[in-house]
Order: sequence, then structure tokens, then C-alpha cells
Amino acid sequence: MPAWEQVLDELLRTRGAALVRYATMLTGDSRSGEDLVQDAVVRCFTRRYALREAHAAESYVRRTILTLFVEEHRRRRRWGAVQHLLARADESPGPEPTSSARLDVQSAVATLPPRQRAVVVLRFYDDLTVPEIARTLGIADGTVKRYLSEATERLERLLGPLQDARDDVSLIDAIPERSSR
Amino acid sequence: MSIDLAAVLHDVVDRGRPDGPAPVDVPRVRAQARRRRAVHLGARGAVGVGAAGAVALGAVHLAGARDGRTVLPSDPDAAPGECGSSVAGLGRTPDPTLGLARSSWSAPGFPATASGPGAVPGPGDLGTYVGREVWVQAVSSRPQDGAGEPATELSSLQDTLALVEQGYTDRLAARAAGKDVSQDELDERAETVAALQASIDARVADGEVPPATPAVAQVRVLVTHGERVVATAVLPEEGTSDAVAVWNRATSGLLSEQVRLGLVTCTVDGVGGDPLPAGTYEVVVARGGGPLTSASGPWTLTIPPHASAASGLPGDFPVDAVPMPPGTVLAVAGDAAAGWTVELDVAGDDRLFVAADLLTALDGAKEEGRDPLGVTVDVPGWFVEIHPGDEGDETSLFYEVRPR
Repeated sequence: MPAWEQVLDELLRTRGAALVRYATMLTGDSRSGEDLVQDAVVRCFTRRYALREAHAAESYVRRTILTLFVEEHRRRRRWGAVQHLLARADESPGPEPTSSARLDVQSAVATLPPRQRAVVVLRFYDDLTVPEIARTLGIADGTVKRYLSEATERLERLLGPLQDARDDVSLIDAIPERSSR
Repeated sequence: MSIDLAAVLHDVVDRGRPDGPAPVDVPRVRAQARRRRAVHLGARGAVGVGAAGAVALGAVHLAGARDGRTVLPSDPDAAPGECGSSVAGLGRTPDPTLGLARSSWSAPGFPATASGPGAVPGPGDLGTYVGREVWVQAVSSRPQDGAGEPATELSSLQDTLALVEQGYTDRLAARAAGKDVSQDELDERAETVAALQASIDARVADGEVPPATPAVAQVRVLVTHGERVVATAVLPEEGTSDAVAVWNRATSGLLSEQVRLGLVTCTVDGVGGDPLPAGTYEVVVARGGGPLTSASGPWTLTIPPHASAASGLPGDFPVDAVPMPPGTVLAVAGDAAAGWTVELDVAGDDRLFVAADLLTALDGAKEEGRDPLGVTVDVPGWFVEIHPGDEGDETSLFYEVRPR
């Protein structure tokens, strides 16, 4: 078996489920998440020179998942066209007990518009800075801040105070659009 | 009590079912990657358009000057669905089981498989294209259209072998025809064929049996203008092997297959093959090869007006070594010593691959990577990276050109 196939196998065996959960956080339903992971993995492993190590491959696949997700919605432009993605019809908990906080956060994140969802995932899961998120998504720093702020407001309305989100928002520049906070 | 959002998100992604089976069809994903890699290998060098060429990513060429005076095909006597025929009398009942979508092979960034909760895409916009050829996806929800049984290691290897063997044959033919095909390249392919064959033989010797190859659907895609068929494509393409013709299956259950659609006039009485003029066209799709009575659609596809060659580049920019598609230079910086960065306003969802193909067509060019995020190509004297960009309705390409 070629080296790239071994890396692909190892990646999907050890991190396939996590990648699908990552994608599902973005898409809002696990079936679309699975398709997104499948697309991303095929694309990443189609490159001729790269991805010789599963850990590096995971980062690249995650980046591609995000790019595909954002590109898809950038093209659609109308958020109304993706309302079905906000439904969480077929999410099923794993065999281990699932904490209520985890379910609450998943459900709340799923109600965010897709770009806000992407920004939240990049900030709070991938731990990227605002400029890094801006470069990743190809949007302005100010737009990232606005998305973060709006997302945080919405999540706090649904979940109550968010410890790190509140800290995070306080670190970014004042945002004119967020006059209500 | 407040919620630690970062901790919960990490918990959601990283701490659930850590050792469970991958919730994706691993053999199928591996098979798709193999297929794309084999296609990619076949596309490099831009020679050979046989059965392997039917799925060659590199077979995209800039349309060249589109002539608004081109006479579109018209044949009042043609049967519905044939070149030049009228589609005015065709039923246009939406078919919920068959549709079209953009393809990542022409529109980078679009999902390779049709996503969504099992929904066949309905009529909509297929995009704007500047190349002479465009790839679109036919999407079906009918299992009998031919995705076959789930891929196995053996069937995946057999699919890949068929592609690589065809590519090897095409290269041999190309060399016999006087094309520049190196012995190293032939040797590499021959080794790949031998290795794949050995793997298949070993599995067959172990008693492994591949799933039967199903009959695949016949699908017609018709490009129309003024209710006349002006360009056509069919699935499966003539000469395509059974292994190649099998549709892909997404985990959503939808089937999809790439359709290569030439944006040139179809032929009536020996006349045709001209680039379609700028404009918006309607595209319909139908199953079966017999007389056409109805079709699903229409989708729309736009060909933009022909743009002028990129102007505004510095005098010492290597315009011959680094050819660019027509467009407007939005920004440029750098010099011959350090290299340049260029932002080019270019229309077309296929602009990245069109730009890449201009580079890979050069003698001595070597493509290092190609995916929706960008393309890297070594051309004589220069290392070129291209990334697509868009802002609102504006679309662009970002070039980084560095001396080698």
C-alpha cells in the first residue's frame, strides 16, 4: 500500500470520527458532515506531494473542510437557502454518556448562520486569532470581529454567560455594530 | 456558572467515540482519491485524450476569442434532443431523481459529491465559465443509475488499474506520434501498472471477489439557446470503460458523475465546433438514449464576454514565461529579482484551472499541486502559485511568481 494510503487509513481510523464531528459542527447535521469530510479527504489526498504524516494531514483536512464549507455558502450568498443545514434531524449521541453542556452548545452553535459558525469554530476550537481567521476565510478583521460578537451574543442568549467568549470579546477592539453590548 | 466554550467544543470534537469506526466509507474514499490521483497523473503533460482523457482534469483550455457572429446550430428536422433540434415541445416536468450541479473539477471549492440531506439539486445557476470545456455533475437519487456495490479494496484497485493502463497506452501512442514523452515517465507508469496488477492478483488468489459492475445510466445533457440544442454531452462517454463509468456514491445516498461539456457548437451537416458566443444558456438533462419526450431543468450557464489580455504588468514581468488569462490587473508589486505578486480580475468559476492549464501547457512546466485552494506550477525560470479570490460579485486570481 502506498504511503499516502497508509496515512489516509490511519487518519480516518484514529481521527475520522473527530473530523466528522468537526464538520458536523459546521454543517449542523451529521450526514452533511460525513460528506464534507469525504470530499475534503479526497481532495487532500489527491495532491501528489504532501500528507505523509497523519497529524499534519489532519490539520490540512480540517482546513479543507472549512474552506469547502465557507466556499459553499459564499456561493449561495443567501443564508435562507441553507436553512435545512440548521436542522439537527439525525444527530445521534455516541455510546458514551453525553453531557448536557455539550449537547446544549452543539445545538446552540447549529443555530448560528454558517459564517458565524465557521468563525466560532476557528476561534474556540482551532484557537486562531482574529487576523488568522480573517486570512483563513478571506474576509476583513473587522468582519471577523463582528461575526464573533454577533455569535457570542446569540450563544449567550441561548446558553447563558460564556466564560472564554466573554473574555475573548473583551480583548478585541470596540465594534461599532455592537452598540447593544 | 458560565460555560467554557472552547473546552466544550474540544469535548464535542475530540472526546466522543475515540476508538469507534470511521463514520465514512473508507474504501470508497480511498478509491476516489486513487482515481483522482490517477487522473491527475494522466493529465500532467496534457497529452492523451482517450478514455483516461475523459476524466482528465487538465483538459480545460481557454476558449479563445468568442465570435458573436457564430451561427448557432439549427436543424428543424432533427429529432428532439439532437443537435440543432427544438426543445420547445419537450416536457419540462422537474425530475426529483435527476439533476445537475457545479463540479469542483471546473469550479474549485464546490463539493466533489453532492451534499445535503439526500436532495437532488433542482434547477439553478451552474456558473460562469471562460474555458472551452466545463465539467458539471449529474446527480441522481436512483440506485439503479449505477453506483454499484460499495467499493472494496479489490474493486478500487481494478478501477485504478484501468485508468493507469489507459494512460500508459495513451503515452505510448503519444510518443509514437512524435510527442515529447520521457522514458522515465513511461517507466513510472509501467511500474505502477505492474504494482497494481500484482496487488490485484494477490487478492484474487486469496479468494477475494469484486462486486459486479452494474449497468450505468445513459444521461444526456443539452445546452440550449433560444429553445435550440446548441451543445450536447452524454454519459457514459463513448469509449469509457465500465470501471470509469461507474458513478460515485456519497454517504447521503446520492449518486454523482462528472459530465464533460464542451462549450462549443455541436455539429449539423459538418458545421460546428466553434466556441459558443457570450451569453446565458439553458441546460437540461434527461435519461436514456432514445427519442426525448421530456427533460429536467433548465439550469443556466453563462459565458462572459471575451476579455482583453491582461495589461498593466511591469515591463520586465515575464509575460511569455508566465501567461495569464485575459483580465484586468488590479494590483502588482515586486521586481525580477524578488518576484512578483499580481492580483488579476478574471471572470469565470473555472478561472483557477484555466490559469493553471495555461502554465502547464508550456514546455518544461511541472505541476506541483492542484486543489480548490490553489495551484503550484514550476515553469522554466519561475515558481508560480495561484490562488482564487472573490469579494462580492468580483472574482480574481492571486499570483505569486518567484524566480527559481
